[in-house]
Amino acid sequence: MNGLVHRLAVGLLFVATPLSSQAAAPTEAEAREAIARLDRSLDAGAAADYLGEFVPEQEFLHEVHTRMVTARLASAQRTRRTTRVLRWRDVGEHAIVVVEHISTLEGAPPDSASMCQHALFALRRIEGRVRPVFTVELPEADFEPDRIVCPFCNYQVDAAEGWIAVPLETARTGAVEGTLFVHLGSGIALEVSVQIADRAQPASTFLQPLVDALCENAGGKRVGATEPFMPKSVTTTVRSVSGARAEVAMPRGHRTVLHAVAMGRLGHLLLLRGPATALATHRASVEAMLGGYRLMSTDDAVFEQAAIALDHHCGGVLAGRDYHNGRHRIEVTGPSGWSALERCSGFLFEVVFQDPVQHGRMVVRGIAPPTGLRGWTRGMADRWLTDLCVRGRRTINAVGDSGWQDCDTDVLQRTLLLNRSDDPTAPPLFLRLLLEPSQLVVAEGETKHLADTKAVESAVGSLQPMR
Amino acid sequence: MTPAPDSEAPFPPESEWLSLAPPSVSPEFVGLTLARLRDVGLVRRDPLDESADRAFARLDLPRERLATEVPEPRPGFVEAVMAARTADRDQVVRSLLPHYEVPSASPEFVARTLRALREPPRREWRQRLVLATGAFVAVAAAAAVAFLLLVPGSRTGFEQLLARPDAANAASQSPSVLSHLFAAAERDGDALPIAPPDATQLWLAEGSR
Repeated sequence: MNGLVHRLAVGLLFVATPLSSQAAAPTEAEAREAIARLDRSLDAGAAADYLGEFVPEQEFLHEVHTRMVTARLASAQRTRRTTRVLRWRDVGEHAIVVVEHISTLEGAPPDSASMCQHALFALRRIEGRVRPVFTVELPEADFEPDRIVCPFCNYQVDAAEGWIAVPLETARTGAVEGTLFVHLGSGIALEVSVQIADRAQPASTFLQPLVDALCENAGGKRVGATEPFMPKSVTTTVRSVSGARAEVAMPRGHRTVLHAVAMGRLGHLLLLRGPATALATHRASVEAMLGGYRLMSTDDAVFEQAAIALDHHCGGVLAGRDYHNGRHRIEVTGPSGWSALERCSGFLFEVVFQDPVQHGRMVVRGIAPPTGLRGWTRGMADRWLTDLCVRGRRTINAVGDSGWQDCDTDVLQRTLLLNRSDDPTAPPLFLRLLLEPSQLVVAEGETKHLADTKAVESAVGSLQPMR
Repeated sequence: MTPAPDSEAPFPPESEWLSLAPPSVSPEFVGLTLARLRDVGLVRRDPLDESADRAFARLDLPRERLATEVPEPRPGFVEAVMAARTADRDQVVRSLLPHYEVPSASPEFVARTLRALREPPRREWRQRLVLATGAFVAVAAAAAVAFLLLVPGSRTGFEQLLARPDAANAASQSPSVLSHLFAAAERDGDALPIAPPDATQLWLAEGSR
């Protein structure tokens, strides 16, 4: 009996200690005031004050946000930001706040364009003061906070206790879609992304270039060999699904664990990152989070999953070298004898034509309006084109530029020739743009085979709005 | 073929490789392998040992023979070896760096140098200049090595993925590490870098017109 009382006492003490030491989550009013302080610092151009408010829990997210704020304040334009709290909830010690930022240009006429962006803030009470610990841009304000489900990409991820789900803007994922799961308070995060490869490949092949990129570009060092990995929802009898896992040691005691589950061309990528000590401390929570990932269907038909995902996310039909997309109202025909392939890497849609000896390439992509802006304008498209030429070391050939033309449709069209800045005599790149507020469609093509030049020019020129 | 063991033994540092017990292979296997490596130019031909090469040149080293003598490495073995070797060399270079640090000059040294510079015999002054130039080059080289080795290592790895100047590109400021890895894996220096724009940068640029 005495033993039972003792065990109960110890149990009560174990439960009571963290409860008594846990600080209460900030109230909505406190969170609102903390975010208003950030707005005031930003409007004053005080980057140090703004960033000094943060007590970063997620180093990488804070670094990204720091660069965004620094770039904004480096502009000659003075801006004003007003933030409205749309939703608020508390998770343990944290307040999770979804907000709408309205940014305007100081001194600009009232009818000039403003920018409306959504973001998620996590705030916590630290030494009696409410401080933001991270913020991430959101594609939209409405989303399920604890789960991501996509039957078309055949997966569902449920956040474990203490984790929150943050959807990412598609344009920033470089993939079909992506979601960030953040473990509050530990510096641990799990990224989930859906990628479509050019051909069916096993999970280890999805992982290999990512592991290489981590080692070559981020100072990672591979730990051990790639191992099999399979979510609990997949039985060993499913042949069309493969899984792999690889671990990379990062600088300063951080660790990254990459997981891939492949179904033909479609791959689910799960990147777990965080300080190695935190990953060890929160092992049970991390396992619970990884256990929240599951496939919705596991029959052998999932080998064709990429086609279903492409149809849902991009639309479009590819028949030989003819591509038309009713959802985005365009049609195009690739060069004769070239192969064609649909992809999806952060664009509205994407189709790639390739010549058999890989000396030429033509790509057609749809680009959504930048999130937060009302829609594409001619000025924005021109600005984007100028930036593209600078980054791509190209110059616009004045003779080959049709300028923007309105061809009896709501779509502006422009055809250009781009020369290499460092070698104007090299074969030019053919470019054609279709512009409307809801999308900018870009066809680009070039070849090293002089005999194919006319065919590529003609194929790029075949990009037309559907009538 | 002998399967590789599943358990991973601790990998020895590079300095110990030559002291490891050699695997049991037939005596002519080493000669055959060296001859083949010389043929493909991976090992420099030794003019004093041409006769040995000629002796082995008539023999072949078929793939089957190679497979019976040398087991196929387990998946990831090569990457693990390369990573271990890189870490090993990194450690060696770091341990050597302190040897390049220059001790502070003593007051006597400074006084002697100044005295010598005031009334330098022409020839000795030239020698000192050459020595000083050499020392400067050595210190500068050591500083450059220290900078290259130590400064990148002091940063968080993921930050290096962001260290690209194209802030007008939405993906370049992405909060997703995976998106940066996709971009790095796909990067083709020759292709036109078409990407969705960053909204804020485009908005600010539009406003400044």
